[in-house]
Amino acid sequence: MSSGYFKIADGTVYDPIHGVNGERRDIWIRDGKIVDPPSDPNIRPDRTLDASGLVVMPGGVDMHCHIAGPKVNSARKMRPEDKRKADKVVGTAKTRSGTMGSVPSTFATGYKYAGLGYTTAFDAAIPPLAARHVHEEFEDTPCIDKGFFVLMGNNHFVMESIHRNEPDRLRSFVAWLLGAAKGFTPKIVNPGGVEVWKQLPSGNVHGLDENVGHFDVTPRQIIEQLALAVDELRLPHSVHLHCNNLGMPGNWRTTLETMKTFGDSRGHLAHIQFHSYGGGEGDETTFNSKAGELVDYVNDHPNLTVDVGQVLFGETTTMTADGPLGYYLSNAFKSKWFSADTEMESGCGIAPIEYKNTSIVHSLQWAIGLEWYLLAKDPWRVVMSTDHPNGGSFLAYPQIIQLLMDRTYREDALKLVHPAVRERSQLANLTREYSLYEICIITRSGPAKILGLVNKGHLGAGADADITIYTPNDDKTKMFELPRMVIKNGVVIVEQGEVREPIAGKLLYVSPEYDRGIEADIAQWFEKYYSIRFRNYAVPLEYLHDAQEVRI
Amino acid sequence: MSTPAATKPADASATVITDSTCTFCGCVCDDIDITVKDNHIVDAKRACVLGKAWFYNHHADDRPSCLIDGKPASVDEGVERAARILTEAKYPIIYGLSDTTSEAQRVAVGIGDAIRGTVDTTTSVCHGPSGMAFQGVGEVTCTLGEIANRGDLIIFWGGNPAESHPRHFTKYSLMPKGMFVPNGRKDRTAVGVDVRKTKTAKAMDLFFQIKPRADFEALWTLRALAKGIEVDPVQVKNDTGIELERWQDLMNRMKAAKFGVILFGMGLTMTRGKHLNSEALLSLARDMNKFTRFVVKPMRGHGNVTGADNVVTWQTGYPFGVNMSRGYPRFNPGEYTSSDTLARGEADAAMLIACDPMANFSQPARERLKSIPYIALDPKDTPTTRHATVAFTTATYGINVPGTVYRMDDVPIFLRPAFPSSHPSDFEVLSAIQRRVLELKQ
Amino acid sequence: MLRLRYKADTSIPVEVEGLTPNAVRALSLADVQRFEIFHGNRKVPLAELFDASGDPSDARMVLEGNLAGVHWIGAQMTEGEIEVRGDAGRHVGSEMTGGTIHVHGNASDWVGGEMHGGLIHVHGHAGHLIGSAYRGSERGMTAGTILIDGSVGNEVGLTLRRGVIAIGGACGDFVGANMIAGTVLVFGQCGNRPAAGMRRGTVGLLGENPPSLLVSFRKSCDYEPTFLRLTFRHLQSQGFAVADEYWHARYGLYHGDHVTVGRGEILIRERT
Repeated sequence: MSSGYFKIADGTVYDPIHGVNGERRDIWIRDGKIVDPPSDPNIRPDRTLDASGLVVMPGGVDMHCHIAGPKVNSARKMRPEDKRKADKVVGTAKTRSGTMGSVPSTFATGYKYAGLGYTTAFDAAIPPLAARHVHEEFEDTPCIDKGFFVLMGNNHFVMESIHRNEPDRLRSFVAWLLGAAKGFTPKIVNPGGVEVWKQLPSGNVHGLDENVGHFDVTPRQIIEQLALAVDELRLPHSVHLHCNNLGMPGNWRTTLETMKTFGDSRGHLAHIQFHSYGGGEGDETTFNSKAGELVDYVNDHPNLTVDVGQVLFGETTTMTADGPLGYYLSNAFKSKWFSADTEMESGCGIAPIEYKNTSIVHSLQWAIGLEWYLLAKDPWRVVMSTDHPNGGSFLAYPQIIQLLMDRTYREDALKLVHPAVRERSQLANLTREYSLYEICIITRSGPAKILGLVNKGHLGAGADADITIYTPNDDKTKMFELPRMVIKNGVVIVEQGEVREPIAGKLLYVSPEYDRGIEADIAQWFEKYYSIRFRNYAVPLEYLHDAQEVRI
Repeated sequence: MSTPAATKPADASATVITDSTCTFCGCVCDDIDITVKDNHIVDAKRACVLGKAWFYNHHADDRPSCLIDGKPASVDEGVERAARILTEAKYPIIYGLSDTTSEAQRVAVGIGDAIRGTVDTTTSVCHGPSGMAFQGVGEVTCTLGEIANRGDLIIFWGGNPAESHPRHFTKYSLMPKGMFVPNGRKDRTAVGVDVRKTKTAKAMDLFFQIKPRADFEALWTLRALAKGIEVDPVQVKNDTGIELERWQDLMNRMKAAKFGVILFGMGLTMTRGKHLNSEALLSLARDMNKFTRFVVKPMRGHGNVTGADNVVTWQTGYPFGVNMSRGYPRFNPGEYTSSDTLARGEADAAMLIACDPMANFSQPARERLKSIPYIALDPKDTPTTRHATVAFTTATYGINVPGTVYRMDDVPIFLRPAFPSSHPSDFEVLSAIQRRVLELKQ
Repeated sequence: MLRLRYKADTSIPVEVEGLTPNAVRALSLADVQRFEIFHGNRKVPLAELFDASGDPSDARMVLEGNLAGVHWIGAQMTEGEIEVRGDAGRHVGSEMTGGTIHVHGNASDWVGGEMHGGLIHVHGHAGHLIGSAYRGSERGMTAGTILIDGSVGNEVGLTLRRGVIAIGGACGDFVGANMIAGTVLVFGQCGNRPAAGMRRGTVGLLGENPPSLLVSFRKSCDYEPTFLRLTFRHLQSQGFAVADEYWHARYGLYHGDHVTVGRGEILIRERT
């Protein structure tokens, strides 16, 4: 008689949410969940995996990446050359074929994340008009649980509500929109800037108090009000923000001001590395790191969390909802340029780029990312990301881990970048080395907590049985590149890089309560301005294959 | 995702289904109120002439759902035969896909993967060149609502939307009273560029009747003017058939626009130069963004050809003409595109979904198709279905079957079917074929 | 020398990627016969479609027969010689970095696609996209020499980034489109829109009835360019005949494409 139990025996377990730091323990799994061991000692597990000598962690959580939807798909379409020479993903009896390069196809994305031991990933920026597209792509992205953030920072209804000083109206709209799209939290990208881009040639905003024409709101107001709305709705994850002035020398001041704007509201600042630059405005010759100043502020303000957005050298594709940024990058790199404005909601810019270790700016970007990790006092609030694929591929995570854990490796890497990094950043002086415990925090436990996913990022009873087992190795890149085994919902999905069982993965969404009265208002707005019918906009639950509401 | 099967039976009295979607052309209007009576659509409010034809010409029929070698067979038998044809072939192609749901398209690509064949869509004979141009220089574009709300200079190049996309002017490009164009048509200047005066030309404020096959030269003249390069007026007139002053005036207007839009059609993509014509236009739009906001949009023809691009791209990485003979996707237009693989006699089996190459392709391609075993899925009886080894009569998407389609601007819209069909949907047939193919491949 | 006689009768594409002189020189004849090639989606041993004989160790290969349906001949080769006695298919010498390929017959499209060195000489006609970039690539061929005795199709040298391409016969439209550097010489007639989008490099239209250029090209002067004679000498040394009338002709020099950087040149042979 099958007991239904699967036991992972005697692994060296890391579970920071429960304070477990490399202790030898058993993990019991049943019905896709981690459970307490059976009270009856006579009950035997159906399967026992001997994990002695192996490292056991919760499955990885990538809380900021770009893996699905119209922007990502346009990047795929635009760059056949990126895939031609890249690794091939050959189809097997169980798995679909695909392509890699900087923007992998959907099946390949799922397999490769799982291959690294990641079991959850969130797409960072989706215009809700395209929600169905994302849900379809997610269904073709196996092995991982998924969710996405809904772009609202340049949404017309949002800006109008803020201008009218009607926070209740705003809050109801945010709640409605999240439920309509089946998204996870509001995402703000270059608040106000994208709307100005739509209105004016090379338009953008450059300061928090600049006025957005026609709507008469400021970026500061957009950030403040949405942050308040999200906290009032008690959403599991805070508002998620890509600050104004991304990439510009001297932008650290905007970032600091933005951090202050949050007040006591929760806030997550995305790919903070790109927002940490000192120097004269628009002046690359004085470009330097201000990570230190910004880390200090985050250290002192527990309401704020960040993900780093690490840059790696090599070719990649930038893709962002920050329309004007896409234009700027394609001009700077003289590359092809895709731009798509979504009515009422957002923009999008895509440009291939190459980060070179001979460039002062790129070398500093690389260094600043590492500074953030090494200077942060609270690893629970600084999450690993490459803003895939903007800084580099998620496949580079093992390499980043080695850079953080192995000072010698880091110093060798430092020798290969532009020497100006030594004067213009603190990296050369930072001797800290991350422990496995801390790596576990920044790659799974921390992001799970920040996202408010109580069943992820830990190995206590009640958690989803998403578990990664690594073979210890002094070479941390090798260790994290090839987990011994990856378990999802209690099923062994990957073994030594080979996909055994590509299960589907769930869509995680929120559907907060709201005052239904607002629907008439929204319907009228649709009637006036949208090119799609209000009734055809929202995504009904029946549309989704396997979705789980994260309750508030 | 709900599986798009036939919906529950209608009763005898009329039902009205509001906010229904028409999939005839790339406009994908989702505001059609259709009245259904006795499994027949008797009214389609707000539908244009093409939409009405689309809706009215569908009735329940009692044709067999499956024919093998011209004789009625069960769907199961058809599926078995189809799976064998596909798994035994060395160079099977799957083609068509633009007139079906994305749910069905996703299964079709999966079959292509399993049989290590080549998946291609009607894009390759339509706006494929625009897709190739986009891969060369990129594209600056937007959703249709942006045009309605902001567009003040609208240029129609190489197309005849008045007849091919009848509601486009009203819904999206010329008439709408938009947020920044509150007076609608009065706030807009409409420009047409084409080799002949069509119905569209009559709706324009300015019309440029250019020399046939001179689109590239015309676009290059505009690019030169945008950059302020001196050009020879005699040569311009000679090359394009239009005086330099008129092009200069157009360029002045383009620079002065707040939000310029170029909507383009087959006149550009299917005439000499093809993808390089499209590339010239996409480059011009990019050039213009130095001066003002400027976007382009290819006018996609069929209801879900955009969906086909999207599905094939997200699953394989490439938009059309995707070969999987080696077990992984490869892309090379002209090599793996269906009109070529058929005309050169390379394909040795085919599955054709909602398309009619027997009526449209070149002579050598049709000859080849006649000589190989192939499967056809179509709601209609066509030259393609008539010559098929296995022909499935399937339910019509949007009329009988729900599912997702993508408008010409990539906006996904869900279909509200009107009445059920006795025939299986593309999704059901393809899913059955996929299951059998995977079994045979074990 | 390794001799491969093509014995298949199939219209389904045969792909011989990887079958290069540098790859086979270390193999025994038996290994060569077992070498895996593709027939459509089937992996087959070489011996199924070719009769192999001889000794591959000197990095010379001769392929005989009508290989119009055999693709990727010489793709990515680094050294050695391939001789095709018959027609060849698509992607001849694609991405090669060294060595020589002679086709004593016609070739199809993408001869020397994104080539990085070596020499390809097609003694008959060839197809489209000779010495060109593949779709989406920011640059195409970067080095090497392609000689086509006969005529070719459209987009010769698309996004060329250096190297030399010489067409003895006519070419189609858009020769040298989007070129970044390098030289393309067309000795026969030329189609329309030559060098559209050219940034740098040289396109020589040496045949009768040269096409009119795009409005964004500007005439600079007439002259007898020395470098052209040097190029002719280089071509002759590679086995490409250049008739007397080209050596001492005068050429009109045009600069463009001014819609881009505009530092390229088109040379048009003046009629005497």
